[in-house]
Amino acid sequence: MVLPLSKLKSKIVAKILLVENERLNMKLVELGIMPGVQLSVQNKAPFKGPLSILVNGTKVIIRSSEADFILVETD
Amino acid sequence: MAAETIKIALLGNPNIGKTTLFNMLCGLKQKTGNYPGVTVDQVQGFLSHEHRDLEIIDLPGVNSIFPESEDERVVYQYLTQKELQSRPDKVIVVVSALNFKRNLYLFHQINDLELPVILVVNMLDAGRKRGIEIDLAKLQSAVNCPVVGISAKTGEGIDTLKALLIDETPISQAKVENYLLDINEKDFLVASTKDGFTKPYEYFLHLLFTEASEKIDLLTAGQKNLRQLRVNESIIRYKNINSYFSDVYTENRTKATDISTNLDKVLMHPFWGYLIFLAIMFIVFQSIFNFAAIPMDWIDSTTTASAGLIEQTLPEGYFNSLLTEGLIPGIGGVLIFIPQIAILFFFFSILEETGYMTRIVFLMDKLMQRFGMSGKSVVPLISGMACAIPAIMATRTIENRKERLITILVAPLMTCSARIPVYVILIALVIPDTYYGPIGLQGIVMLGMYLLGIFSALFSGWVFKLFLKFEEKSYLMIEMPRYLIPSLRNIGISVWTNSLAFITNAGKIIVATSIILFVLATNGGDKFNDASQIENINYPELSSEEFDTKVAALQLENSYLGVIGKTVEPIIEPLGYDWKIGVALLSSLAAREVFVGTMAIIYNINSEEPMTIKEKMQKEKNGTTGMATFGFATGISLLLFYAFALQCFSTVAVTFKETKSYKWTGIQFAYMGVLAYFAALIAYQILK
Repeated sequence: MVLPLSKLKSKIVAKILLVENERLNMKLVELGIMPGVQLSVQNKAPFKGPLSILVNGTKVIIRSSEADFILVETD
Repeated sequence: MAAETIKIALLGNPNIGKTTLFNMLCGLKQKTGNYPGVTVDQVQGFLSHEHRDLEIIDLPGVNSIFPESEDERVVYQYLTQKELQSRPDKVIVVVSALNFKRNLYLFHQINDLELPVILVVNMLDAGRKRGIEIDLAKLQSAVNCPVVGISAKTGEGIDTLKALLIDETPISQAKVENYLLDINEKDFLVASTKDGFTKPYEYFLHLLFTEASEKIDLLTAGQKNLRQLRVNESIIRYKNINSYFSDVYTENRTKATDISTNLDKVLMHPFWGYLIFLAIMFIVFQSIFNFAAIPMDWIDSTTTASAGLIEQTLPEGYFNSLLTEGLIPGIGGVLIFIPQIAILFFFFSILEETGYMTRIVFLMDKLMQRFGMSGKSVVPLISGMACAIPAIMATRTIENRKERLITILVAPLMTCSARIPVYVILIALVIPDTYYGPIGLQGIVMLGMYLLGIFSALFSGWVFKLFLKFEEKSYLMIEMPRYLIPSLRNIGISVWTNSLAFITNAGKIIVATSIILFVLATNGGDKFNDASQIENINYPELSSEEFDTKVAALQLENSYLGVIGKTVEPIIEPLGYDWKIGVALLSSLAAREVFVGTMAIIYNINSEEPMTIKEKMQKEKNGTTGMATFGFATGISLLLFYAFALQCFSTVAVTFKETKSYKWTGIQFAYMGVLAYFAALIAYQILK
């Protein structure tokens, strides 16, 4: 199933397919977050606040408005 | 020939124990100065090893060399500055075993800048506990530069590192293929030399930063833009790291008991997380008042007593008065801060060291966006409760220009510690010392002042958000460090250096203003010099003691200080202030804390016996009405004035330094002044 990261349920492992924003992609790639990499959502702040995602063994905070642009695929 | 000092730059990602290593190497031998060529503060430390003097420059923690935030710009500019002799002799890149792959990314960027690089792998002990093993020998042959593994907390490997620091370090080997695929290498090198660059990677970065689209178009035959070049660089670098990573790094996952994840379940919880955050803040501020009260009283009475003692021992005269009525009360006004400053920095360094600060960013981001700021603004704003100066400097981590500017503009509204003594004395004067059960009314008012600071900062942020227009879209992307037990040594050093910096900075201003005030208060025109004859005619029947008081009062009123105060009196009268408060306002324009010292000096000159400042202010009567000068309405009006007005030259200076704009520095000073004047005016007119 393909869905934006912002819609992914907590603790479900998914794979990044595509980042639909050039500038965002540029910043994510620096953190090693690029298509093909596996990730999962760990924590969600209330009222559509930021998400913390576990990727490459590290937790990273991103805004849910940014997560909208990240397309992921689950099994 | 004496060997020259070796200059070493220390750099790495945030939260990798870089400061712990810096403290381990230099101890208390550190100071804050300016980067040559770049006007931002740097922390320098000194040590010597084997008769060689070493100078360590602690650069801000960054995630990559691409300058998005001000911190990254600082690192980039420092490493690529034009004056070759101000460049460092060596660069230590620190990476953490806990976040190894990500940290290597920055290392490879630095490595391609062709500098004498030493790679330091920190947190080996914490890594081992989590089942992480790093083969340093294999790493060294993979990256082709000196590698040393350490644990900055326990001191493991520090001696090996020191030995490497005084040894000759080879210049790192760069390869164009490490970062560039889409440009013909020969063309690129030719262009680089033509534009005067000796190091190709520096040229590559230069093209990206100056957004030299035309040149990039030319070099890539219009195939790539600069964002794509950057993305490609990142992908190639991770590919390179992956090529040796599994040989070097092994992680035994069965050993990894992830305490961090479990803690985050609670500390980042949508309900409990916020409750715990509030509770922590509450504990911090309770401690400041409860623990600091005793040493503060002690400092206050000691300064009063020592002034009394010196007055009696030294021969009478102008110098005696200058010391006991000018300088000592003034210095006492600075010393009284130490307990609170120390406690505040104690808690802040714990929050920082444990990794909790990043969780605050997570919790607060959504809320802060409503007020034109980001989650990253919370840490500067909380630091603003210690002092606006580090707060404004801490905004450098905010990449977005609009969010950063708003945070700078509103940060001085947070209740900084310089306001505390002013609040403490005014609250003690006008708020009754009654208790409702265990809760004191004065404490509630104090808490109210803190809340006022927070709400006015948020409100101002919201207003600025409406008016400021910036194109740039804001992002939030931060790595969360794992929780760590704070190092006592780091906390101790942070408390010590910050308190010391505060005392020396505030001390300079206060000693100077104290002397100026005293001279202005004890000299004057004709009426000042003839005060005793005038009062002799007016009150011939008074006893000598009462007569002396009358003379002193008339003298003060006609001193140069009195004349200045009288001049501003019409402007501040609607706020409920007399000319003496006017003098205090003017003199504390440079620094708020001067208020208490000025009060002490002005009232000292009038009085015979040594009293604490509070006693003096309590006794003070308004010359025209005969009412107590510090009545309820005036007290509240003054509290509000000090809550809003930007009476701190250091803040003005640091705002200018960080914004590099007269306009925004001016706007900040003006909007806070207007807010202060009208809040005080309205409060006094309603309450009087």
